[in-house]
Amino acid sequence: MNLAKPSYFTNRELSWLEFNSRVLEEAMDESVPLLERLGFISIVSSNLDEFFMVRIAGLKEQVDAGLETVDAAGLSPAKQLTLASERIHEMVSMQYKCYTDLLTDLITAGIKIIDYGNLDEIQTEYISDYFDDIIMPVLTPMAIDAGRPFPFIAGNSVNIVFILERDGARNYAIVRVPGVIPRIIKIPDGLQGETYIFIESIIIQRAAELFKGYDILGSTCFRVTRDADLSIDEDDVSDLLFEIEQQVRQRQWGSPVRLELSRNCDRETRTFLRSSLGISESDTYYIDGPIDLSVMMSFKNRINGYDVLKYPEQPPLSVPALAKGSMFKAISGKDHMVHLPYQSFDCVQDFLSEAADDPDVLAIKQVLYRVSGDSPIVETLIRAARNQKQVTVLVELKARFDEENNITWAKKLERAGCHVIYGIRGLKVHSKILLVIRREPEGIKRYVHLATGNYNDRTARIYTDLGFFTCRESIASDASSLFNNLTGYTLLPEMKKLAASPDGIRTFIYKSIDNEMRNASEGLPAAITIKANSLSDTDMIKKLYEASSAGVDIKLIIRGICCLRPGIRKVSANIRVKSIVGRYLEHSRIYCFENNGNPSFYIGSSDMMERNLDRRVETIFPIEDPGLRQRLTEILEIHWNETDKSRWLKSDGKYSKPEKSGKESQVQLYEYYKNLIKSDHL
Amino acid sequence: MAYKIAAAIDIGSSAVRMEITEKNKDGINQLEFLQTPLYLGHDTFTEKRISFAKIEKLCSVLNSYKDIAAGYGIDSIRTVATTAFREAENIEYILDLVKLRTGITVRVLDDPEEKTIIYREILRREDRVQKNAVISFVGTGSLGIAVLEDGLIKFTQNIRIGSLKLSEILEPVEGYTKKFHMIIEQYINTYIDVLKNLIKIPDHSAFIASGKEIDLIAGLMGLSVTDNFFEISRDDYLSFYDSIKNLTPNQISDTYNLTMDRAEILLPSAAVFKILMDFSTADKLTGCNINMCNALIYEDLYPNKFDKINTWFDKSILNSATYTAERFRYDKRHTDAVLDYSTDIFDAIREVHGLDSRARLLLQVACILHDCGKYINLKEHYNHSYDLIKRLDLPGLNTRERVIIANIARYHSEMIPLPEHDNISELGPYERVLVGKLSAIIRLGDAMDKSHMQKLRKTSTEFKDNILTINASVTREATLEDWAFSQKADFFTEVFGIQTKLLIERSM
Repeated sequence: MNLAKPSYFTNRELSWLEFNSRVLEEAMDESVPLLERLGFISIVSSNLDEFFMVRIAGLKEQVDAGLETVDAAGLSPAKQLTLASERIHEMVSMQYKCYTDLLTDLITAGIKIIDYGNLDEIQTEYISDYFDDIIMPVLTPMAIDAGRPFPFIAGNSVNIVFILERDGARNYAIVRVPGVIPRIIKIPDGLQGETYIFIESIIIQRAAELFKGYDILGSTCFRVTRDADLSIDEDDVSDLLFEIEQQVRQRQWGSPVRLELSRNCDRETRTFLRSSLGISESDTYYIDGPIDLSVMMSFKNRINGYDVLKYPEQPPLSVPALAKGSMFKAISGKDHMVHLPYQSFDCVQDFLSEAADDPDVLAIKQVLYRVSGDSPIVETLIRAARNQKQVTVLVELKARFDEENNITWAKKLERAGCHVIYGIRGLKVHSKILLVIRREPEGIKRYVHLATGNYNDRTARIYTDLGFFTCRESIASDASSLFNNLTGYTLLPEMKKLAASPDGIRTFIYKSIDNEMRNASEGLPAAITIKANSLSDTDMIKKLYEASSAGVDIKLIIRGICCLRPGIRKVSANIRVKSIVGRYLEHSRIYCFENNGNPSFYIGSSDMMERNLDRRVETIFPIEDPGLRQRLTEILEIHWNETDKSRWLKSDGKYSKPEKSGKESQVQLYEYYKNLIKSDHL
Repeated sequence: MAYKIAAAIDIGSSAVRMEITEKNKDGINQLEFLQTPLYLGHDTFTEKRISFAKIEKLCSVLNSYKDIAAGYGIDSIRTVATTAFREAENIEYILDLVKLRTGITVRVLDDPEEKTIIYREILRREDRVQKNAVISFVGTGSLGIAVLEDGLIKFTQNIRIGSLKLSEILEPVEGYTKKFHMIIEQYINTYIDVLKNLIKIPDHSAFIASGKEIDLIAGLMGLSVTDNFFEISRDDYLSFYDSIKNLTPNQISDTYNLTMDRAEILLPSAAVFKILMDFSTADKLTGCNINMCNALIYEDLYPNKFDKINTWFDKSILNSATYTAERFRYDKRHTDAVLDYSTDIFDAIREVHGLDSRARLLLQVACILHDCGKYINLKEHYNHSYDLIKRLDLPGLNTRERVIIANIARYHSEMIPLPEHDNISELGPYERVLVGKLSAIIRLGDAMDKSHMQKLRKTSTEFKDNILTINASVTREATLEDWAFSQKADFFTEVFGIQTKLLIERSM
């Protein structure tokens, strides 16, 4: 049976766009609080920005190189570009329509974003001073004429192009909307409520002061997005740290991949910008509103009060067993699993902090991928080093768009005496591992924290992730071996419990699927449930098709990209796929294999994309404690049964929303943990 | 503290390895086993020296190992190196460089020491080792064979054809023949055929195979090598061998998903084990999964457990020395007499000479082998004994110890050790004194059976008031012994500051 037919696959980019459109649906969902909807509007934009900088840029490179290789869905790079562009145009117009609707609703709620023309006298005076004192000094108008060529426009900056005239001669000038000032300014409002204005609206209004002696015939806002993926030939690099620093600096110089223009732009200016930037019509997006709505996230976060317009508070619950007394003692007693953001990330920090100060701790080893700006994790590691612990940190410099941030922390750690390793040539280290070696009266004991998400206290509030504490010797020994492999030059020995890519995870999943297929063929219970962010690896999809054909019942909860098509007769009839997009970003990865009535559970950092399975260092690990396995069963059930934030994937690659009934799983889970605490089950 | 932790590093020909293990109330717990491929052997076996680039790499590996060990609170790691270091001409510089860059002092094991550690490690698990056995260890740089009879080592031979070395030596031929395995077999047989004349394999000998490559082969044959021992029947082994013997390294690499460097040495190693199995006449191969680090660590963690095995090994050393002496047609009764007398004297003046039991063993081996030079020529036989002993393979003795034994043998009769002798001037100060003391003893022992007729009976040796008195009864006149003893007494007195008396009582 040919399982490789293009019609059995959805293109990866188009599938991602479907995901982004599910985010947009959240922005349009009237049951979501108003300001949170604004947040989703922002996420749609920032998602798209990254999509252009990396994915579209990549496709364009392929087209430019003349590549015509088709993907699993049978689409050439050129075709993918065309289809993606159509879908994005459609999405952007829906996004701005939604934005306009939201603005109207916000006015009713007391929050206004107004134009310059709508300012009253007091406001005009306030803004006039603001312009003179704050905005004007940081503006740099750049004229374009015979002697001054088109200037370099930094990627993702918002700019205004002005059409000027003097003595009958026309020319253009460009002003960059300064990034150092908040883009949306709060202005005094006599009434109860909040009033805001975009600064580009002020700059346009006061432009005459910038171009004295010129007539201003018109103006338009625009933004350019550039290719921003780092391309480092690691084989040729002796100092990865230095090379990444260099490349980050050069990122803004990548070639343009998208032009966003205000809809009001006249034809002449449009042509001028497009030809100056080398951008085609299909890569040009006409915007009915402010350019770059990603700004709405910080805007919404700035608004105090208005609690009814926000999600009800769900303060992270503490984990009672880990909250009192020594964490080492608690972990020695049994394994613990922590579910973010329902439960608090504090226990990870507490654990690290206890390790940093404990006189019996000899060494701490950790992989840091994305760390927050003022990370307490980093501070604690520094403290541990000062306390004479041996601290080894693998900083993955190549975490996309975090490279600069990571370099800063890496250097700081190094100065404090930590042993810092800057990633691995050719592989991104994506595993989340923390290992503590402690001298105890009975011998050496190793404590491990493994997780599905990064050691980032900020994302710990918005990503759903699972963390796992254990001192099981088999897992600790594997974790230690993995560390040695990553930090030194040692060969990775055969693992006892963990599966680690680039080699191990694919093999492990295949073996587990084979086992289910064997059971199915013998009439035994055979089922697979996987919760992950993405499923795009063609071979993995084919393997799942095989399993489905063999009669294995497969449930997939895939939040983002899913190139698999469920429900195709004789191919994927036994596969059902749902996606959950809600308040928190679903991020935990759970693998459950029925194993003839004795299910095995694995969690970890790996999705089912080629990069996770073949080009990154990822880990998944077993949960063997019966209580925790029961909890994972319940978590998966809650997700599977929820209808509120779920969409079912159909065999044509589109998603449909079921009728709502009951509460969304993210609310249910919070209550689930509250009940566990109440009933003393945690 | 209720536990003990130890670390060891082994710098081998194809990889550097470190093990960290603790002993706690539950027994042994291996905390780390690290392995970093580093082909030092390529350099040594082809260029006779190790390149600076490899040493730099080695130092960074050692430093990363040190860090990992420090993470367990370990600051000193027993570090040994084998063939690749041993045979490198620039070894002195390398050791210095490694010490400067890592702070680690590497102990370069000589060939017999390396094998001793391995054999001891195999025999530590002796419950499975039968009384009669051929034990083999195939390293990347050398091959060691030991023949056990009635539970004691009788014969050992170290040959400088390890797996990597074989493939390096024979590589130029590989492209020119379709029957490469035959060339390998013939090459190995040039050594093994000689052994067949030197030692008769005891009946019902087991064949014990050790070394990384047999672990690999067992793994490829689908066996689990995690236990101490694993077994492969002769037929199974031969059919595996047949399945690979006509494959090129490339094909082996593809078939078994091995890296090229491992694939290259698979066939030579497999051939070595096949030939050794034939040599042993055993009907199965018993594999013993060991590694150097593990052996060193076990010794550190369980020093007492080694008392028994060390006693056993001492017996084996004497046993194989005796077998060697037999090969040189020695005078057994004379040798036994010299051994007895000398040992008695050594024991009697223990408080004066201050030497340990190892020195006693060296003396005993020297006694057994002191006359073997007579096999070559009676004239200056002591010089021939010296030459032979220096070049013998004896289990359990390192190269320096063999040199000392050779020197004791050299000075057992006429000459006394003098600083102007080349073989004395090349010894270290401690070694010179040791040779002096032990040769002073063997000279007395030898004199007491000067006639080779074992005339002195019921001797008793006594040390009192700074006088060593030997009482003996004879049934025949013993003027020759008396005279010879007095001839040798001066040197003894010079060395130990002790007067000697031989009191011979004639009984009927």
